[in-house]
Amino acid sequence: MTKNNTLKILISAFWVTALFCAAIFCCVRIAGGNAFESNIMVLVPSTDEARPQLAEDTNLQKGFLVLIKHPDRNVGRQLATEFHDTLVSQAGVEKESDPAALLESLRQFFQPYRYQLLSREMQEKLSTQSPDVIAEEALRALYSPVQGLQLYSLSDDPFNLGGTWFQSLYPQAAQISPEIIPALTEGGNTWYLVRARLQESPFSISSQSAVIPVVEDFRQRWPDAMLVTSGFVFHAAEATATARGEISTVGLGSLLGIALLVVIVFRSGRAVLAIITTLTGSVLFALAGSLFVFDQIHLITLAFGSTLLGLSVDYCFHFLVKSRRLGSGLVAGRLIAKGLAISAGSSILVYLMQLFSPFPGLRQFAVFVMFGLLGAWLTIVFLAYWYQDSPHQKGFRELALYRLVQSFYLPAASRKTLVISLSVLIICAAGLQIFRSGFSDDIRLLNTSSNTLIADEIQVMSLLGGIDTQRYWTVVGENQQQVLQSTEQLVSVLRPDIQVMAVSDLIPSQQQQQQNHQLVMEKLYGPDGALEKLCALMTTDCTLWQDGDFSFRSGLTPDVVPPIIAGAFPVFAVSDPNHSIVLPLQGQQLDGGRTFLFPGANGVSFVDMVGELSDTMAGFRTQVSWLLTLFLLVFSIACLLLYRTKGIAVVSSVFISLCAAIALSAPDAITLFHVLALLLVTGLTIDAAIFYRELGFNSDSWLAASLATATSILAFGLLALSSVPVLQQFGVIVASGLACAWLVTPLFHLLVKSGSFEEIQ
Amino acid sequence: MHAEITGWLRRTGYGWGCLFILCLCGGSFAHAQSSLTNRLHQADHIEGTFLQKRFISVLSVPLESSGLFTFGKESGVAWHTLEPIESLLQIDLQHGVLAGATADQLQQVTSSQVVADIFLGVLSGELERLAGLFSVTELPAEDGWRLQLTPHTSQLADQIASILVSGDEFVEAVVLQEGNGDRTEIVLQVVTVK
Repeated sequence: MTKNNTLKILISAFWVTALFCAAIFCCVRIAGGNAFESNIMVLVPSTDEARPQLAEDTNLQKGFLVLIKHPDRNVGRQLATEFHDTLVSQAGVEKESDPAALLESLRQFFQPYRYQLLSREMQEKLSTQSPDVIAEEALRALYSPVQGLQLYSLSDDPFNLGGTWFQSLYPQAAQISPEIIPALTEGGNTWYLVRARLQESPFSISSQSAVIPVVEDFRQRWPDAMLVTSGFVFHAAEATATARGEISTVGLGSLLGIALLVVIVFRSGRAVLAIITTLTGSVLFALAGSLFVFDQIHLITLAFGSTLLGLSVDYCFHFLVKSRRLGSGLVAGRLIAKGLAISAGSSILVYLMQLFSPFPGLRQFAVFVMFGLLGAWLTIVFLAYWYQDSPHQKGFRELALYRLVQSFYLPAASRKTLVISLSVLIICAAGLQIFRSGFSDDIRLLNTSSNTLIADEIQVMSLLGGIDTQRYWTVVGENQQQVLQSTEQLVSVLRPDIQVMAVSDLIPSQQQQQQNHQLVMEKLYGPDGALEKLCALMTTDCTLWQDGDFSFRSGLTPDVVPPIIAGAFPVFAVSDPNHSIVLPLQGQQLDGGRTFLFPGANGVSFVDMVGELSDTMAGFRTQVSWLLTLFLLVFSIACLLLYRTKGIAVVSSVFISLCAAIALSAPDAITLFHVLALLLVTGLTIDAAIFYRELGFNSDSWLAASLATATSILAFGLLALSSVPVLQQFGVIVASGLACAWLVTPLFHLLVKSGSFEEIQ
Repeated sequence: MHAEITGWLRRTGYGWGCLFILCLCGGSFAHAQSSLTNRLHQADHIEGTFLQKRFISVLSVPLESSGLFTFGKESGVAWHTLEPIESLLQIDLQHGVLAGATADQLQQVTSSQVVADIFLGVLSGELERLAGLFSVTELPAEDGWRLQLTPHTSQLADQIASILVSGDEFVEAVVLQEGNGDRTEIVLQVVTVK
């Protein structure tokens, strides 16, 4: 057995085994049903894990709400009832807890403590009004046919302390009519509130499949009715649909483009098979590698990763063109080996930089593409031993095309001054663009929700209110009572300007409960209190009222609150003996959030998730920009050392392509995703320049580079049509950078080589 | 004053609750509505008097009050208690429920929406308005008619166990049984119909 044969068997065995293992691993992971993820939040960096985090509380994420309105109120009620029944009959969807059960739990649990729980309004009223005035007002209420919202009967709570306290906790409670499907009347229209809960995460595909078809079916069947949605599941489903659509668009578009190019250029079944083998190897390695490194792959990563098809096939084009010309895969493989190694190595190096990103999504993408490129590289090495093609001479059309290329590049390369002037102009345009548009680190770039869905959320918020889960205050303390007292202090500072929800609203500190009780006894139930005055005014026997047990009850602390009540108040979900959270209600200006911290407020801090993420993006943008600059510097030195003065062609191609990409693609502002796209442009331009350097500028290398650029532009051009800003920006900059690289790389190569076109016949 | 109003109520036998009844006919709402619509007097504006008794379990005697009421399809309900202490209650779609000692002291009441719905639904004659809240049962009556309204949901039943309404050409009496055992009885007399 010759040395070549041994090597062929070894490499083939390794490649087939690796591919087989990757395929089995992928099948097992995907069949497990938990391989993919659609929660956009996992793509962004997690914040300080030590502090309370509301947005990631999965229990809160499982609930959702659908509002239904019809011009005919009775029809609306009927439709809402049918919709609710259909929804909760779906697997994975269950009824939301009964509001009556929650109300009853609240009533029973807090009943012993009703004389020590006061709303802020009641505290003020008792502090400022005399028992006589309070008694007179209570008397009017007793004779009124309409009572305010009550938690306890008149017998148990003649001054309706419970009702006013409950009202302050649930400001919207009084507006909701307790029909079978709760109703809310607004501007003469009645909205029916259909609430339900998912058994699994809203980001699981099965949860989305249970809910979305029911909503779509309703919209189709009842065009007269209006349906508004609110909840994580709807945003997650839309993100999933977007990602799926874009995987299809980019993946399918790339595949079709590649197939078309292969058929037109090679007209060979073997070439098509080689392309399919390369793509299969690349995608399987990418998937397996990513699933090995990460528990789940995000669908956006897959959408981004679809562009890998365009990259991995580049190597195959270079290989096929050379094989066709030389009639031997092995010889072609050897010829392009160095270029392939430098090209794949430098591209992998560029993606390695993204592993330092604080964004898990970018790390996933980097791993996906790195493994994909490695897979494509190994597949080419494998193909080199097996692929055979008969030597091929140029046809008439190819020669005509090459002459056209010659007629453009050779005269252009002879005008050095013009080329240099144009290059300077492109560099100036890029500089001007950066100076003019500046930078943007707006986190909304990551948003995948449509305007319709966001408008729905705003409408629900305006009808029912809501809490801001992105900006809030946290309180840290040594023990529960200290945390509660600090929370009360913070709330008292905030409340004049900002409406908030806090644990201390439901469970005040023991100190506050004592103060409340003292006030209640002094103004209402004590000697000369309002109850005595009220009884005098009614001229009736109030003995049963007056003989009530008004004593203070200790033991009301957050840890004894029943789960049904705690579950209804989001602030409980993220509070423990050492932490609490104060959430602002939606729709308030909180720009000065930090300024509300009162002097000496140890342990209180303001959290702005949006601001923090934007800061992270800004930091990472700066970091990547410096890394890219450093890489370009090192790469330039390496090129000059390796190729001497001829390395200038490679370096210039990369610089001018990057500048053109910036000048053409960032009309508003330069973002992190523009910079990341520049990394890709760098990698792809280096590929083309290195292959020209290694193989010379000839008809074959030009054809291979053009095919590679065409497929990459096709892939990234399709990304530019994405509805997700991140993908769209990425697509536009890479497509324009590559187009420029395709044009200028041969030009610089010829400039440095003094205009020689090395035709291989 | 109280005796005068009571006596006048007994003589006239009219009540604001006529429209109350109209709205509280449901599942059997359609049936009840059609039979009652034929019998009840339809009006855009009604004025009258009321006598109200509240039975509260901790009090040995009921709390009695009386006063005047008006209802207009545009202006809503005004409930003016004169005895034993003056107070005013105003309910309309635009402002919800307002209450105060006098007209210039009216303030928004954070009252349950269902209360406003019942008052306005009843008095505007929109029977279907309450179909989502109550089921209606026709009870035997010697003269006129009697209806019992029972809440659909336990949440509402906690507040209102049932409402009994009776009358003839107009509503004459309403008995509201609360979930905690307390009870309110209202006798109505219509004085002016437009």
